[in-house]
Amino acid sequence: MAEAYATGYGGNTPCLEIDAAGQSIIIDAGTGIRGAGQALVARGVEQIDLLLSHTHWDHIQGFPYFPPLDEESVTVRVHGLRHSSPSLHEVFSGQQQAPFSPRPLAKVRAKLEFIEHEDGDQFHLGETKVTCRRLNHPGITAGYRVESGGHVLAYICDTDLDGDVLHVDGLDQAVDDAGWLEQLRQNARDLGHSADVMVCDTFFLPEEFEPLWGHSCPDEFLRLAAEVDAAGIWLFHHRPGRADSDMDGILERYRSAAVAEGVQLHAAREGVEVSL
Amino acid sequence: MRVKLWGTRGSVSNPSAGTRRYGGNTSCVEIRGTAGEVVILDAGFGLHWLGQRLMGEGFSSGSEAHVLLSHLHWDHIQGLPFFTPMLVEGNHICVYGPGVNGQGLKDALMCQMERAYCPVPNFFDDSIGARLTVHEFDNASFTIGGVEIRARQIHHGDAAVCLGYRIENDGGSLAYLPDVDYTDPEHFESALDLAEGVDLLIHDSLNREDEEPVKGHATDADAVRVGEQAGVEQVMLFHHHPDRSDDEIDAVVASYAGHRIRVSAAAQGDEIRLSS
Repeated sequence: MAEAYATGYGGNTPCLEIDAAGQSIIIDAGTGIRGAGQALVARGVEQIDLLLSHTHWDHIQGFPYFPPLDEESVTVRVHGLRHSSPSLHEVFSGQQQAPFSPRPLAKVRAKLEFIEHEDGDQFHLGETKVTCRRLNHPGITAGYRVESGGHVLAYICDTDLDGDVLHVDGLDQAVDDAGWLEQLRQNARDLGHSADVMVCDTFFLPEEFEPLWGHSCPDEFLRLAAEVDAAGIWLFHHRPGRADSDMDGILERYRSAAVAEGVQLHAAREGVEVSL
Repeated sequence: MRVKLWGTRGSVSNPSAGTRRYGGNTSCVEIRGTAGEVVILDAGFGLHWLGQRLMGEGFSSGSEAHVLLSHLHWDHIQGLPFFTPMLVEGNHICVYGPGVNGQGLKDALMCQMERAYCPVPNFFDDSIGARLTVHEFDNASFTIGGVEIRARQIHHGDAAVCLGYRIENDGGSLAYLPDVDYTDPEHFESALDLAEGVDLLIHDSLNREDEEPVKGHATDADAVRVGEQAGVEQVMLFHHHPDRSDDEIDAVVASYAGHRIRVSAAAQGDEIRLSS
């Protein structure tokens, strides 16, 4: 593990860059995507696949400032779950309309494609296999399983693993809540099974938990990781008020539980790079 | 009056090791009048943290805050959905800002909280949370308690309608020109008018003279020129370029050492008192 700078879990909203055998995959377009994009432009990358969990601000607000959008030679494919109304494209156009943004989406130089998938779809990006499954969050939200070279990263964020069903848009009304909850839990298991790394929504600690927000605690993810035989978890989607010292304390608090479950425990730090 | 800087960055936030001192939050400046009036200039990410501070001070049912928006680009409004005092019933929040082509200010602010983007109930809808009043204007003079306010249009690119503000209280005065360009000599007129003789001029400094300019913005040299011509006490460089590191900002400020007016750079968390 090499750290880009010495301290800090970071202050940007979610963005992960994956280089899978030369294939550039970005997960989520929080404010971190600006720095990721500067690096992609510097490397001359021309094909970028953005896997979007959902369209809440903290997961899309960096997109208008993504430097590859200024490059005519670049194609950016934005993947997400099917959004009937508004569509994924409409949500992104809306973000860049006047009076909010000086540049409409239609004026960006890069070629943009919006691809809406169904829950359970599997697709290939080069040699990399991606699976997307619906998660339990207020809003249509996908988790992703990214498999490349025999290694697996699962991105299971944002979701309330053990809470009530939070959002019924696009869900089959003939199935009851208990049925859906079990399905949504199974989705998380399918995404995470045997993963090298599970990137987790651990916004809450148990004593802070709010049932309608659609986020989880480290406890649920440690149990899930043990259940599906994932090697390790990264605490992620840190609550904005958490200081670095708070994050250190959370790692300390869950260290023995992680050892007992046989799961490696890390907290995501901005700038850190990991090879799988 | 007391002035506190909660966000100093332009365009997009960039919290990182290199921007720790001047700060990574987008634009937000708190002004406290001598009678406790809460006046807030712009609603970038810094607004969330100001809101948390207000709540900690017991800002609850019956409290009043006035948010003056320069314009509606994201970096000046993106903190509003995360401004906790807006969720408290009985509070009164007044939002002021420019009219928007073909769309009212209130409608535009409601757009930001549409369900696709934001799971929080849309508190620009009248029935939710604090009592909300929206004032739309292009030029105006009014008072909030003992705080005197004047708004005038300033030039920020060709498409955006942008306001600058002059604030006076207890014999102290400041002018706030966060996003402004002087591509035509006529654009100086309203800037000079607002800034005339103020103690503190908070001014856009996104661009540098030796760099490719971002349209609609000013350089530190523009800021100092306006300060000199308007006879201000102190020029505070503001709306820092997201890529401008702390060390680079230090160097810009140092280049004005010994200048006949005081030149400083806005640093997140800094507080200044202005009085006669």
